[in-house]
Amino acid sequence: MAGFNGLGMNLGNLSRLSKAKSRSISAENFTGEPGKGGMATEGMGAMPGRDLGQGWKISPCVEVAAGDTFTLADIKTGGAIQQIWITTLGPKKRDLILRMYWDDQAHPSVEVPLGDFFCCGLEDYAHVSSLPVTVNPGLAFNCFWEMPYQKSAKITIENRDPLQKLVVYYQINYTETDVPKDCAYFHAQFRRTNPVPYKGLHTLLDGVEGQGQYVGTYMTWGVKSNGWWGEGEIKFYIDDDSEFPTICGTGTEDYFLGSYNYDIGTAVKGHPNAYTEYTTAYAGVPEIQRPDGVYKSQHRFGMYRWHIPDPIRFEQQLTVDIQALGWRDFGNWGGDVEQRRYLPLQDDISSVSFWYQTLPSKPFPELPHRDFLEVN
Amino acid sequence: MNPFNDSKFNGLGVSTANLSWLSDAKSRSISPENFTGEAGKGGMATAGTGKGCARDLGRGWKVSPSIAVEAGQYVDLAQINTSGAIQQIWLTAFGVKFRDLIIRMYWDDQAHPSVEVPLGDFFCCGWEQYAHVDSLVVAVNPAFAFNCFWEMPFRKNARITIENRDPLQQAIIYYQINYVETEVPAQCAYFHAQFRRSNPLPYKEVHTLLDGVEGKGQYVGTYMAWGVNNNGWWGEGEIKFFIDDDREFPSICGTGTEDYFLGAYNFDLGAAQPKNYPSEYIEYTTAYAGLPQVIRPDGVYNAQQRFGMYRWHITDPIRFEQELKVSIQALGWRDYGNWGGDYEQRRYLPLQDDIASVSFWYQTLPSKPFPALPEREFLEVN
Repeated sequence: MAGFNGLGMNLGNLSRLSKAKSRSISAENFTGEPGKGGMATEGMGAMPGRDLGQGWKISPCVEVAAGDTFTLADIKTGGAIQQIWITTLGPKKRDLILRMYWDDQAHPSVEVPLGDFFCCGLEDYAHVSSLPVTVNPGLAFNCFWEMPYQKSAKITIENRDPLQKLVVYYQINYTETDVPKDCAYFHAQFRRTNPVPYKGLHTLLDGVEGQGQYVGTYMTWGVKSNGWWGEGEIKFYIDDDSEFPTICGTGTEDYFLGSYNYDIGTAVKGHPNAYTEYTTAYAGVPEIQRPDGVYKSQHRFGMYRWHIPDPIRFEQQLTVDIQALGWRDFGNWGGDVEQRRYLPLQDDISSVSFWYQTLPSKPFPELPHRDFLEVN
Repeated sequence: MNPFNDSKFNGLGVSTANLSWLSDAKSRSISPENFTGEAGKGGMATAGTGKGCARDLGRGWKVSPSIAVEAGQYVDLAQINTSGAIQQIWLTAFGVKFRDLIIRMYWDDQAHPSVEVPLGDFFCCGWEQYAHVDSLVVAVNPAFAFNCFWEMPFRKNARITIENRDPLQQAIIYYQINYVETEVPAQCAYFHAQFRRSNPLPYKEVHTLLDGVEGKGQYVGTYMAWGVNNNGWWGEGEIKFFIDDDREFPSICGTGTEDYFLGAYNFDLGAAQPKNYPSEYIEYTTAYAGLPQVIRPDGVYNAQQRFGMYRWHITDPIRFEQELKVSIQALGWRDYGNWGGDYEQRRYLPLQDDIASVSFWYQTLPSKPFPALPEREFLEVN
């Protein structure tokens, strides 16, 4: 295709004309075919629309029975997904597994619980306002990751709840176009370590093989000790790195582009000690779950960091891990700052790693049974 | 004389029912004002932690009310070389964390201790914070006054030590150990107390309070410090007492954690009567059982929800003839807040909580040595 292929959209190329085709899959147009939207005569809106008829919101959503997997999109031409909007009812978000397959690879390139994929891993609403992910009131999940493919794309959602049916509303906006050879494939992988073993690490990603770039991290962090919990360093082991990484962070909140425990009170006199939420284009702590002293006893955080102006490029392989460190002797180390010692934490940590890479990609570690994904 | 038979009253087993009985037992007391407990030797010190304050008053005027225990050191609080029984201990400490102070007791020359417990846990205050405790055998009064009334008989000697495991800070200890010199009948067993911690408890495993006990005796009490690592109610687990020949199944099996501590419905009146009460954990401290401590998170650096609980088996001791093992499950509920609304579909959640316990029992000597007490790093409350 001569001219602009319609990919890499941003403010600077909005004026450019392209022969790329705009397409959209939803419950009102399951195939995305042109001129085929809103034709349904059966669907979850058929009853409320019974006096209005075809064209009047007859099929705005789908049901997925307990234990079933539903194909949200099955695209057979080259192009790129440009935006996804999705919201669900019924089961917990950790029981809904989002998977994506590119160019007929048998194993998925994305396999992530739905909430975590959209920076809401803690079964609650978090307002997220970033460039590639936004979550708007109430629980409207959006992403703007560009996901190119040469031949085909398949997106599925699995309902792992054995008892409850799922209702999904979704819209997948994509473009049909020629995809340049140097476009890699979108990947996202979920992991959870609960609890992190004493002096162990949380591994976000390992076993990646191929060329690509790491572009983002979402983490949920459940705190199992008193005191500040975010002294641990993230490490990116690129290609030939073995014992020591090329990129080493300085602290957990530093990596998420915050500082001083996310607590203005520790940095600036006159402010109370309080964790403070923020959500910005490239990083955020959009969610802080504070205990209520009774049954919501757990203190938890949701955090994201997008490496968009600063992707982490690798040519053969990549490993990413993070330490969990706090402080020993909280409140009683004798008053001598020099005597403080780190405390290896045994926290509940989960992560989603987002990256692009060439295919074939290596199959992911097996996703754990739902009992081990559950937020308790 | 014991008014109910012809034998002399030995002064042991003192209760309201025998307060009027005369006895030849001798009352003695050890403190920094009388380190040996010798008769007529109290308040003689001319050197001590109060020496400076008493410099114008002199001897007899609180010259030695406390001792200093240097970082990494331990001291003998009491060394008694007659037969008798400790009847009451009062003690308070400052300077270091209570999990860094280890109290040990030795009876009748046994080389290994019969009591080896962090100081706070021994007195039902395992969380480095004050809990008011008002029970028959343990009382904690404002501010951090640790008291116990366990009768601890011995035939030849008794030794009580305290170790300061803090590598940097000095501990100051005030204490008074009230005891009686008397003859001890053959059927009196020896007081034991053992601390354990599982942090976190591995998935689907149980916290062992006590195992490897050999001898004849009775289990008389439990203190537990429980840190909650999940949302929702955490106390569905059952305590189990495996007595003598019990193997897979115990003779005594509880029905739930709060039940064992003689509470009910999550310690939450709102769970029992939702129309009349808000949902909240409620502290209580009574003669035989209590939940004296509920630590609620503050949303910042005190992030952890924690509980201190005790249960004394005084009217209902658990007797064993050869051996005893005690364990407890940690169970909550899965799918908290979203199990489809069908009550029958609920499932237990094996918890991975931070659980510490002290078991109190009496038994014959020799008792088996305890498992090695973990390094201070693994006892620390973080």
